[in-house]
Amino acid sequence: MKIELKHISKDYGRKNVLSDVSAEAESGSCVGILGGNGCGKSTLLSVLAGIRKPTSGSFICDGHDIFGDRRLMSRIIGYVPQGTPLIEELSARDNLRIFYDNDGLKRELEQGTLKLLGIDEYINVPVRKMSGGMKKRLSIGCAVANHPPVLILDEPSAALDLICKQSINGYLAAYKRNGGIILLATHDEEELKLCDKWYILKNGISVPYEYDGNVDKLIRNF
Amino acid sequence: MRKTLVYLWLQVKKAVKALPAVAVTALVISGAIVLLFFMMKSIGNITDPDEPLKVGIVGNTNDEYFAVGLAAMKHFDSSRFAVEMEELTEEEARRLVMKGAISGYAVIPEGFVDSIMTGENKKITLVTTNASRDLLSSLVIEFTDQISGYLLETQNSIYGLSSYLNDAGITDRSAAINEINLFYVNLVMRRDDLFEPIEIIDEGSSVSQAAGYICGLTIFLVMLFGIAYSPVYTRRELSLNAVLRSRGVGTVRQSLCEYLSYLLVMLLCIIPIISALVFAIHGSGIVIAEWESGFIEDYIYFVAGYIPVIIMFASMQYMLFLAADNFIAGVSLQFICSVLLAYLGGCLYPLSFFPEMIRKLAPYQPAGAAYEHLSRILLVKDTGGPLIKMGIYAVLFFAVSIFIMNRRLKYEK
Repeated sequence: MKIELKHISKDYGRKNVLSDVSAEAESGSCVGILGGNGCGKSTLLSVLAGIRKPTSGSFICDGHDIFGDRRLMSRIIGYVPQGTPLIEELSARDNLRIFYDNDGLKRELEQGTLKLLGIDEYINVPVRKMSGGMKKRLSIGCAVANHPPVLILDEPSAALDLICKQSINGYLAAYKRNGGIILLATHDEEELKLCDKWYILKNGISVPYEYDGNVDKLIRNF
Repeated sequence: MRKTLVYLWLQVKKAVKALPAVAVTALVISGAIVLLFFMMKSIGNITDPDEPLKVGIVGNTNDEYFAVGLAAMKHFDSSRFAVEMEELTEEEARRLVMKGAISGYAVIPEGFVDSIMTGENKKITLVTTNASRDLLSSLVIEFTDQISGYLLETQNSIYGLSSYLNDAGITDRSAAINEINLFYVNLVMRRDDLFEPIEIIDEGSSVSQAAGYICGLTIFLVMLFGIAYSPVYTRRELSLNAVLRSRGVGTVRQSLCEYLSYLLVMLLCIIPIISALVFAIHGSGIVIAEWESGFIEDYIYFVAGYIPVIIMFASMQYMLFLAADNFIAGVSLQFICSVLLAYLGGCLYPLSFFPEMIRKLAPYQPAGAAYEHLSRILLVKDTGGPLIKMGIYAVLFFAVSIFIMNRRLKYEK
């Protein structure tokens, strides 16, 4: 599978947030979207996830523009927002039920993605009693229901401890190995290493960047 | 569709899970409202409109002329249907006023009648509470008007008779004087002739005071229910809604699921509370004139009348849940809107106390429409008009909820 973002722009009324974003990725790769606070990373990811409509541009997936096809988009994209997309009062199992049917949930808990994420260990715990890392893993578990080929994550390891980060990065590496495409907004060094391509968002425009492990140099480019 | 149904089921589960904690808050609110109702009753604000106003007479009532006048007022005068006078000691009268059993009392000074005859005019003192002050003042003005009228009529008749007797050359005046006295007594004893029959412009369209308070306070209870569920439904972020949207569950379907779950718990919680309130009021012996026929039939009809009220307010509260992004703002919004709408809708104070403009607008705002609807149920009248208004409001609030959700999803990070 190959995805291409072509000249995507997004305005909020008179305010232009994204003016020309273009990027591409192929199966088994991870693309890092970088940039300072307020540069439009979250807006771009929510546009790609189908939550917000773009002002112009296209999101080509194997030759089809999926911006015009919401159903196809919801099958292709798995989205993990920055917040907690979970019902706090209910258990992990209940939250997963929205995205998995009974058989699928059972299968994934026994030997699939949810087992890999370690969700089976706290499947009956109410979300409000979970740690930040547990919640994030559960959010990813919800997003990857039905195995979408593209996974979009908005700063997945923000405010998590090292063990949680490691666990999430381990899963993302496995997702990539299995042929998935990851689009990631991040500031985290470990996540940057996970990426194969990097784009810096600056004044609403995406600029390809070659990350060489030098964070200071990267920050100077923001 | 599967995702939508599961989301609905999970929303119901979430709402029911929170029910025990919410029920405690709801019971506290209900308790406060019941207390308010019984306090109003105990200080005498809620009375049967057909019950005469009770006034005590204290002091020097032993004077022969005064006693005759009082007896005439108590037994012959048409005012006896509106005002009930009772001779009391000052201590007893004061106690009854404080208890709310009488509206006030008049203290007749020593030598009152003699003072009138000598032109000294000793003054009668009226004692009352703040609550009955206006009522008693009106009564005094009315009595003073009547007395002025009698004096004028008496003067006119005396001068007229005298002049007539002079003109007619009649020297034996006793028969004529006797006749005019009888006419005068007849005039005094038939004071109702002085008034045109009272025209009540809202006859049959308003409920009794006690029923009005029941409608008003229970509507207020329904409105305050949003406070109890604020911690559950007010959200800082709409991440889940965003994810669901990206997975093909639109905001209309999401809002509908959330609204229906809230409506369900509201019905589950409020109908039993209102039923209990109605039974408590009925059991406490408060006479609700509109419930004279058969209590159970009236009760079922009345309680069923709350369903559209709850549907409308659930929609309003859901809109407010979405409008607030934290618990404090959520509770404040619910409280301010409830108090404001209940006040302007005549739920806390009878609308007759308000300026004409508010009285006219009240039935067109949510609380006013709900009040009108319940009043009409009690009066066994057609409730089509208020039902349409409530339906429009329910749809409008729901549409605004969807608008708010879309807007938050658009601008929230």
